[in-house]
Amino acid sequence: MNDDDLGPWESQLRQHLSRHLDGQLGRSLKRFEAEPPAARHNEPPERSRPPAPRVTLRTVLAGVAALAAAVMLLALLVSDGEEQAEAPRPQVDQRADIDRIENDQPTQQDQHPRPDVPRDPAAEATITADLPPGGPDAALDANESSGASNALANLGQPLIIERLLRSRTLDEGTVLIDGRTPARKLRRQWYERVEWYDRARGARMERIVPREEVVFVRIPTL
Amino acid sequence: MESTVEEAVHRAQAGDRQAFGLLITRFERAALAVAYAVLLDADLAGDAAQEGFLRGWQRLGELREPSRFGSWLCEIVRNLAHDARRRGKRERRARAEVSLASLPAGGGPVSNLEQKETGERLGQALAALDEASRTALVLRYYEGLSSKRIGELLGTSSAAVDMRLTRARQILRARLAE
Repeated sequence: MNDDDLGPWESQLRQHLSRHLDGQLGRSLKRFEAEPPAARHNEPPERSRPPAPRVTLRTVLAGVAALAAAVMLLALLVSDGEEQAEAPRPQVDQRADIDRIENDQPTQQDQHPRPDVPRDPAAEATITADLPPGGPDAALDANESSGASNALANLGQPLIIERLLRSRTLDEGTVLIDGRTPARKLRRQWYERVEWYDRARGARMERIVPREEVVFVRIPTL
Repeated sequence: MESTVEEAVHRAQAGDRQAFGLLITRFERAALAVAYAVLLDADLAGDAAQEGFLRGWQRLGELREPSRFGSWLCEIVRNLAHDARRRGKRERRARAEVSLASLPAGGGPVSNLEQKETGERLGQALAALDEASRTALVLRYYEGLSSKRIGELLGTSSAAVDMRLTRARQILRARLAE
């Protein structure tokens, strides 16, 4: 045996790698095809974005919250109690839409810890105020289908600041396709979390979507 | 082949999504190999490769030498894989999840058990290698690339790749013979 082969282990190493990685083939293309055209390469390059978005977001949101608190304090000082009681709160129903999105996650996905992103109710209320009647889902669907005249465009081109993808692949064993071709049935489940950040308003919006697909990988036969 | 890649990169830089799809098909195995060499987890490697292609599409305008698309992409994927490893995603994943590797398809219980044991030994042997050698080895045995092509993807010489492969095989042989 020379240094250029592994002897009997060589083919087993190939099989080992193939068994592990072949199930992942095709995912990248599907994900790319599902990507809305808005994510074009002519967008500002990633390196021009904040180097640590999570930290920046925390800082910005903390600043917005502090500013909101200062404004409220000022309002309390300069106006009487009756005017305070009559201050409009039009975003209550829209907030419910965001809560619904966050609470609709399937239980199997709940095992994944969710990033601890600080929340600013005032900022969320601001962003929901500009959403169409269908709520965030409608805004996002509109974004994917109608281009510039969509709800997100109305928000001043929010910046996608984070996309976390979590996935797992379940091997459901061997099946026969068309009654004679053996294939492995793989069920892929993944979890997409996309977060938009509107720098101009310090507002954030997120969407979490569980997805699933079944893939058949042909098993080579002799 | 290279001119085809360059042509596809030029088209993709002009906004042709279909051309970028061709590049994904062409380099997906290499991207998976690079990510797997860092993470040693197929699902996480798939995530990193997927994200790498999206980043690649978003940053394609920054690529000045289309012929270097492969190495440029592999570097993006490798960085994303390191990020994923740093985040400790692997540790956070529920152990109850059934991985592709732990459930070999087909065959009887005995062959499945043998396959699993072999896989575990190979996995442990791979984990014993340094990352650069493991990357070269996975690219060779999964993607079937020559030392020259591996060197181009990893930004090193084919002689250096050969040296790493030789060393990696020695270590693997020793580990697997134990």
